[in-house]
Amino acid sequence: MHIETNQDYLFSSIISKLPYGKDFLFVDEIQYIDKDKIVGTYKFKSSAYFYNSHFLHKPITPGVILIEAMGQIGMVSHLIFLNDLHLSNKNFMPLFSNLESSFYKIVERGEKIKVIGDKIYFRNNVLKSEIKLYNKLEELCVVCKAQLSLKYE
Amino acid sequence: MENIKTNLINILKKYTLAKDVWKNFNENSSIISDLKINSARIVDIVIDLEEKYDIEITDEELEKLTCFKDIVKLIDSKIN
Repeated sequence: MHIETNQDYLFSSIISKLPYGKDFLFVDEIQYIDKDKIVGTYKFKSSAYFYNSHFLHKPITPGVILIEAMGQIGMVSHLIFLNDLHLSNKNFMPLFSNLESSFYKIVERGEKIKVIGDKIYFRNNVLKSEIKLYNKLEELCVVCKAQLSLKYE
Repeated sequence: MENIKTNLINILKKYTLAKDVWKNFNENSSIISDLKINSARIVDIVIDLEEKYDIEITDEELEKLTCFKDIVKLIDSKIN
């Protein structure tokens, strides 16, 4: 039996505030969060639309989608927490400002990933983080350093 | 002052992806519209300057930095 804790409630509140529809939401769970770090997971759906086209002869998860998942787990969820947006009804758009990344391993169709975001700074409404993406074997697949800003609507 | 300008140019060059922006550079060049450095990068530049000169730049001061000479003036006022 799983007993819901305050932390479970915090994690689900953050996920509920992510401004994405089901075809573009790449966060299943948040496992850990504090003001400097966030850890979360996502399992890609084997039926996701992008596997039909990327690639035609062998479906693998596109790099841009991996970056998006890293951004959603490692930065947007963290920004929601850091700005207390899980406690408000403000509409916002999280926008990448700068991004640098290195790819090491392919993420297969339907694979589960773990993302760890480490804050470098949060200043003037800009979050800069180093984000790492691991596959189910805990192998490092992607590292990126990025800046994300929030635009309020 | 010249030393500040040289150091600042070296820091700015780390963040200009389009290198041709330097062709028409002058002291009135805008960081965002002329050097094509976006507003999030200005936070990086400010942090680099804080470390380089061991100074503190407030968020209010950061928001007012629009062109090259604004930054030079601010640094000069902090270290002299």
